Amino acid sequence: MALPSYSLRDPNGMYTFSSRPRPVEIRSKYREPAPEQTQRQYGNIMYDRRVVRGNTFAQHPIPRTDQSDPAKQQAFKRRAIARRQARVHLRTKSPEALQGRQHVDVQTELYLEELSNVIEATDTECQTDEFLDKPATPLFIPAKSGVDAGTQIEEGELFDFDLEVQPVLEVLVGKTIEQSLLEVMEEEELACLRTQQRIFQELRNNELAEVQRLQEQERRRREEKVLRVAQQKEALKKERETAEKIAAQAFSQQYLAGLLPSVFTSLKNHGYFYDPVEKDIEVNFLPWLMAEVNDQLKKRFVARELLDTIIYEVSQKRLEEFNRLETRQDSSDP
Amino acid sequence: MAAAVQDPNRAAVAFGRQAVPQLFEQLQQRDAPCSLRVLTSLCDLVHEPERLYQIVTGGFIAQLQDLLKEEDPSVRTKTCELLHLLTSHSIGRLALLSSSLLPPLSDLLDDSSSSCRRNVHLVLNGLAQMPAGAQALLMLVPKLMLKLRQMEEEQEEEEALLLSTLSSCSRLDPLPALASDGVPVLGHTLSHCSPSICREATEVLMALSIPEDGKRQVCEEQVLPVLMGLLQNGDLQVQTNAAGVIMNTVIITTGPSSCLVLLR
Repeated sequence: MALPSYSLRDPNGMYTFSSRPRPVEIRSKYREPAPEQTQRQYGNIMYDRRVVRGNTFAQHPIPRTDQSDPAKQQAFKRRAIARRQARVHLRTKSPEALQGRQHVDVQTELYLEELSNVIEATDTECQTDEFLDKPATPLFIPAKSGVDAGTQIEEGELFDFDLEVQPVLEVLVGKTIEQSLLEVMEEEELACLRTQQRIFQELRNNELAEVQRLQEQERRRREEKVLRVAQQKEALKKERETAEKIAAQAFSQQYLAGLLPSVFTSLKNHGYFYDPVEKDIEVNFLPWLMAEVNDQLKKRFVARELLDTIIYEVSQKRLEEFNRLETRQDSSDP
Repeated sequence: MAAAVQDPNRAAVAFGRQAVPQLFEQLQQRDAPCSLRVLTSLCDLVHEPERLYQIVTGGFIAQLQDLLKEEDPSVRTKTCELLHLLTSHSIGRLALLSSSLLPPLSDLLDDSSSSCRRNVHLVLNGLAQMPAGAQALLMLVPKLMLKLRQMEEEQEEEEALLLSTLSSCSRLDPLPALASDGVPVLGHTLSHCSPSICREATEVLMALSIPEDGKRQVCEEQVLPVLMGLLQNGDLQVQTNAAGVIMNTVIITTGPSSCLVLLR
């Protein structure tokens, strides 16, 4: 993922592979069941088991059949023998000789060769002469070639790590301590700020409580005052009302003092006070009396009227009669 | 040379100025395991102020918005961790406030992964320490109160952080928290809690008991007995805060009377 490798086939058929150099991963002796993709444990190549170290001449080659088990080895040998025998059996042989004939092996090469089991061998001996004393070989000093060069390390030329490292160390340590001091100071500053905040909060709370207490007190006093003033006003109003009432009562009493007799007199004058007998006589008896008198008089009047009409009729009759008489008389006396 | 022995959990970091832009480019690919590695490397880098400045001024914060909606919970957790590291500096905090990251963050409060929720709480806590941040978080207070009500026993760390955020916000303006029944919920929290939660809860109560409404509620909701009990608590901070709440409460007239009733 981070180190991609590219392999591609050219159109000509050439295969190219390129990859960024990547560090070799360690491979453990026993493979893990599921290696994860993301974890790449880069190992040290010096300790890689796959890299051959040291002299390679002394190593024995890896045996072909690396069988350590003797039973397995024997089984293998038996199987090899069996295989060989099977091969021999399988090989096609020339047919058997007919009767009277005999097959003989014959060499057919150009130059005959004697085949025999006996190997010709010759023994040869050789013996060196007695060793002669010889002087020691002189030291081999090869011929001088090249330019002579000499070097000498003077005092103070060698790299003294302790000396060189000091300024670097001072800088490192100084910076670290400075950084840590800064951080500590920051923390202390923060702590100081917090303390200040807390102190402020406390003062504020106290003052707030005091202010509220005073407010409450003020409010209570004001309410009390208002209440008292209202009470007083009530009282005054009541007093005034009472005084007014008294005054009104006195005045009305005085006003009404003369009212009663005058009322009585006026009523009496208007006839509201009456003697019931008198009234009764006036109301009931006298009208009845008058009505009766009226009736009587009416009757007399009717009677008179009647009499008047009778008299009138009589007189009319008489007149008529007299008239008739007169006319008769007139007519009778010409 | 250091990259040769690479930590498999971290992405490769370019040298110098290119580090941050290149990492954010890799983030554009939206490949979940790759994003996780890139975020881990970013979290390491952000501890240095220069890189933080680079992130803020390069305008890369808007990219993190998409990451907050990823399906993989570890990616969301890492993004929130990165945001938390951003809040350790003032420019980071300001950048967070001016970006539009607060709504997605508040959605993540209901996340299924507890580590993600914890990191979100860390971010909000960091933001709330600043007055402008607390102002911005005031709108979130009802939702935070809801979460407090639903909080179970095991989520102590989250609860402590949540309460700390609430206390910072309420110190600025206690009315939203009061409006969402802050006092009864906190009274309930106080009765069974560990020291850290007690500390934070009493702090919130102290902030809430400053307006008059809060004082009245503290008297009415029977929180005073619990507070009296807390005065005997071993932790100094808890005692202090409880005393503070009582100090605020006795300012109104019903306060001392209820206290005296209790003392009898």
